[in-house]
Amino acid sequence: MALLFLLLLLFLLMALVGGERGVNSFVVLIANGVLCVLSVLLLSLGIQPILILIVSSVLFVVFALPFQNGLNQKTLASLLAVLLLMIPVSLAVGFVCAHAHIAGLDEIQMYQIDNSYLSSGVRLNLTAVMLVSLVWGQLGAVIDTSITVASALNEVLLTHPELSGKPLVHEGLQIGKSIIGTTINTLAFIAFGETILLCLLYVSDGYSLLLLLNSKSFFQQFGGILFSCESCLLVIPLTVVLFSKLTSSRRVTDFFASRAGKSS
Amino acid sequence: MLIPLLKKNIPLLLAALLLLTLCLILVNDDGLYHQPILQITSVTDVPLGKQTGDNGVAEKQYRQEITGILRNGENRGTKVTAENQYSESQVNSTRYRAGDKVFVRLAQGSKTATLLSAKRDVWLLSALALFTCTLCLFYRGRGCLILFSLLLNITLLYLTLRICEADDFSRLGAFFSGQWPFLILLFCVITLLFVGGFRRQTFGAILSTLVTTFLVFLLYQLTLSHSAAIPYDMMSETFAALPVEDLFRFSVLAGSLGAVMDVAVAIHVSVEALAGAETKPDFRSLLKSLREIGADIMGTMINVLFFSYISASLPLEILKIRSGYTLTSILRYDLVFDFARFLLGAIGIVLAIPVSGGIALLLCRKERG
Repeated sequence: MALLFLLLLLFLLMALVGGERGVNSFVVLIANGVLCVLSVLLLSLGIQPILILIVSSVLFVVFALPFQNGLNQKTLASLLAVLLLMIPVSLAVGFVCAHAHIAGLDEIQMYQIDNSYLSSGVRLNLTAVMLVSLVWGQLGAVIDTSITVASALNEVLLTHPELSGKPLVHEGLQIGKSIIGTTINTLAFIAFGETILLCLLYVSDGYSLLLLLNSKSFFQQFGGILFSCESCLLVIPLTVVLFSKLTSSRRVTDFFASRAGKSS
Repeated sequence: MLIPLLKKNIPLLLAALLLLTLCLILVNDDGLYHQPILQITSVTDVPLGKQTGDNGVAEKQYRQEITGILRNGENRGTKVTAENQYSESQVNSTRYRAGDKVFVRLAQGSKTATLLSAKRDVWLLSALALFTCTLCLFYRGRGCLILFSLLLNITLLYLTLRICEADDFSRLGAFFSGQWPFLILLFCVITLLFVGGFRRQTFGAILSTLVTTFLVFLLYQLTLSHSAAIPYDMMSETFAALPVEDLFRFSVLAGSLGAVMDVAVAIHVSVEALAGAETKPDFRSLLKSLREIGADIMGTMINVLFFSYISASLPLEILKIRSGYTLTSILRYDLVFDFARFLLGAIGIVLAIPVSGGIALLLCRKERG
């Protein structure tokens, strides 16, 4: 009940503060939620997690970028940047997942009474499920960073249309520098909030630093945040470069100019 | 083009080199541990047949015959054999491969060993080194400041937990029921000063963040405090004797703090830029731009919270559904914590927009007299 009230309150506030675009964002949020539940159900049926990861990630990105912010040069640049970045990042994270043995129950979950009711027969590829969880965890932050940089760069281009190539890239990297601090802190505080109980457990159980660095639970929680931060750092230059390439390409600018002409 | 670029970056390259060397040392850090570490050289899997779980799903079981070489201690370099069992999905077992390093307990005579757990520090520390490297190389001085503020915040959190815990949880109760706002205040001031620098807009952002966090706190007290919606007893099962309700409230507020600061900084910077423009905008057009900026930030910031909170518990939820738990029970007893954190965080983000806008406008007005 209380949660439903909060959800309603969130909707009202978003509509009040953001107007039509706020409502739009709320619809995207609900769509993301539905997609999440659907993916979880499909994953628990034992359908290939990698396939679900690819389909759901592309859908999430499409919901968040062209749908929420309209199709234009800046959303196209971030869409491409996010998708292009997530491919090598997923491969790297998957590699680490498999080699650091971080899938399955961690050393704390293993001894929780609640989890002793879990069935011993699951027949799932838990390493791949872990990869889905880690990549999903990154998506929101990476999309946010990328679209923020692209939007700001678009504003710069509007006031200084003569900028292109290297100066534009330089300008974009400056914008990236000014936003990266708060993004990393957002992720860090989410981690603080999520893991305060776990941290308390580490302190009261007297985990040594070396024990902590090898613990599965620590890796699952903080490794994920570390990967997200790293991806945010990498998506900025990629977005900037793609944006400058897209805006200097005659075909792309003509395409969007003709679209804008048609709609107005 | 490459050589002048390299010349310009010599100190940074040196730093990167240093970090890489550090990484290399870490890969060979086995001597630091007292516990024996086994590096697996060969593995043979022997099928053991199938075992059926409570939900009727059968899973293949395997035994692994493992040979490896000890990496540390007085028996360093000796060959040791070990046995390991794992099931297909590795829910609470691990399938080891050749090349893995594992902590072991040696049997008498040091010829055989029992495997305890995988050694993961190399992966975690390499990821950390990569992050620090990228931050310092691409973002220079600002990157270092961010890193420093993170370290400071982590130390602050650690010290708080350390001091609280020392007194057998009684101080912990006192802290999380009444003294926690000081920690939030410190987090906020440290982070924003490091990220924003000593400027008027930084102080505006601090003020806005605190006001917004206070509003979220009020909302929490009104809706979720002592509410039956949050199954606190599910938490106390693992963390008996802890003030779980107060801890959860702290986790909600701390979790949203970063996002609220992000929004506050963005709004303060834009209002400052708008008000400082050559053509001074009137109040109405300023409000309109503010609304546009707010809508820009809101959607994607809320998505950040959504994905970060929802994804973390995903593997356990899937295991539970697979074991026959219903979706409603998972929603009610597992996901509810993340969902509550997410909702209050998202509301915090949206509230931060008018709050920061208002405070920023007031500050600009005052300046102009």
